[in-house]
Amino acid sequence: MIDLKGTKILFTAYAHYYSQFYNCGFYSDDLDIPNYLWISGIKPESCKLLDDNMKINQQCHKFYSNLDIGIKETICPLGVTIRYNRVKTASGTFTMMMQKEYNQEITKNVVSKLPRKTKKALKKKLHNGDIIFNITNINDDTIIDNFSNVVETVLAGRLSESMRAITHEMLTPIQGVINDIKLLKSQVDENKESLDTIKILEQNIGQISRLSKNISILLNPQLNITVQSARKVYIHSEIKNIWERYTSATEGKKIILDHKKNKGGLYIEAVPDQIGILFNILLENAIKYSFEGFDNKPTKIIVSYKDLKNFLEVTIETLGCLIEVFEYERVFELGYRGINSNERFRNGTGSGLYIAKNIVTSHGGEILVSSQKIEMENNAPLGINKFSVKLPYRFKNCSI
Amino acid sequence: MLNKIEENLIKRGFTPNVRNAIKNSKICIIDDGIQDLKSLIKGLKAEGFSNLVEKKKVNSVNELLQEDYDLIILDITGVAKEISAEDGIGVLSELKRHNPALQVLVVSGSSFSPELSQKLSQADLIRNKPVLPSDLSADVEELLKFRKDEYWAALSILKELRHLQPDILEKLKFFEKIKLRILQFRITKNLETFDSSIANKFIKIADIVTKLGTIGLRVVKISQGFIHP
Repeated sequence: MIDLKGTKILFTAYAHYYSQFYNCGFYSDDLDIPNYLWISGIKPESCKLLDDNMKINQQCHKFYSNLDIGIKETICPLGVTIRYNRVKTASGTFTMMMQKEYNQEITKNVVSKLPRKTKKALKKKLHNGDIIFNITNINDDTIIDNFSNVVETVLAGRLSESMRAITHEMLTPIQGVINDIKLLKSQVDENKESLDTIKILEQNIGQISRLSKNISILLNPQLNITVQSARKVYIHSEIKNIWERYTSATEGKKIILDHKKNKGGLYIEAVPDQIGILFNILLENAIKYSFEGFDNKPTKIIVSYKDLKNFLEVTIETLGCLIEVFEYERVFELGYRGINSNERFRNGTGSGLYIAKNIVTSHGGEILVSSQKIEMENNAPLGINKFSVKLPYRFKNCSI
Repeated sequence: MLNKIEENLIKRGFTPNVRNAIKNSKICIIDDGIQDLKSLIKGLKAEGFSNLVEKKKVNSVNELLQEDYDLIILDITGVAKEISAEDGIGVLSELKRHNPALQVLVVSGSSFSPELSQKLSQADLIRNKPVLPSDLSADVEELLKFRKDEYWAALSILKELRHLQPDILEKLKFFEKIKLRILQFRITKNLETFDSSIANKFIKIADIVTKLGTIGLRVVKISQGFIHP
């Protein structure tokens, strides 16, 4: 296995190869990659011509470091329309850009303001090869997309392998602590203070365990569940247990659980800890994004069940930040935070629903969201949000 | 039919003799962090398991096979790096190759690559860490009932025969097929009435299935536990 530095060298070689065929360039403001790339000249010919001009170089650095994240199109300081993709990798932000077309007026204007010496050199080169206007006509975003994916995957992938191993190793001592606490609990007398401390310890180690598992799931693009891991899971009890973990948060926000046990006594065949993680994410989100209730009118989180012949449907309904229709798919993407979620005031990684979807689909189920706009409060659009999870009663060919 | 029998067996539960036999089973726990799992071991002992062997790593697969464990609880990382490039997975594969009926419960992390998942599916059960003694105890009972309870063993053999049906049709002689059918029918009847002579019948089945070679090994191994000298 190669290390991260080796990966970067490999990636640089790959970028060199690409730059032979396309007017492309690479930029990063917080990686050591740009040093490799910028110095070794992996950038369009038109940019290379201006290497010696400090003023333009500074402008370009400022321009590239302020680009928005995502695939976008803009005009660079030299007047060339560029299509770019700026991505966040495990080690920093990275941009790949391709020149699409030039704006003659802007380019002329930029060139005219250059110092006499640079202008002369540039004009000479332009006269010889007309390099600056030799723009690749790209109609397909896939080149940019693929290249960025390679960067993301390679850089993050190298880290993820080690992280996966570390997370795995963490689970043994976590298991030790969980069992130690359980043993301790059976040994202490009825001393309330000791029991309270043990309860806090239990909650904290439980949270560490869940977070480790979240990382582990996150690092696997696809969960591969074997039937040997499946057990009977009573969803109603699972949700009840999870809710108890959040007592202090729910009491503080005056939120109550309306738990309809219409079909909750039934069990499904699933991987127990993953189902725990799934409903922990959904309930934690429901609590986090619900608005505070009142003493005489607490906010309700409604959990209901529906028997769909081969599937059990669990719906979690809350009054919270409106999820727009175009976000119904996007909320399950990694790193996505809802546009109405007011993320500055709510901690989150944007990974919960991605993990939830991964777990549900691995079990052969489906997770859907819908949101009904109801009113405005302090300019924040409110909605009744419903997350519906459909899980099969029988896990593949498993018979427990 | 088999599902109904299974439901009846669940309703019936274990007899005290079977429960004792399960609790006295020879169980080997292998984990590179075994020193961190003292409370888990204590918890299992508190659940009644009295014959537990702890190991930090596997020195040789033969050694494990010779010890004749009823069940091996196996962690898959850091336990057999010296003897297998695939670590615990390699041990699992070897154990199952030599003794398909040996019960192996894998206790490991929560997610695996597709290749790893395929190999892991050789395990009889997989439990994700962290695991509580009560959950592990339930898993152990679930696995050992096939070795310690003759009725569960019989059910397991009937299920296995269902999988072996194409080979039975192809490789066994007409007379053997008829004999097998009669024994299957009698076992099914015995399972309905909880007739204690059931073990003799599946031992006879194992004698016939031996002729199928390695594919019938699971039936043979299950029945071996009920042959009394």
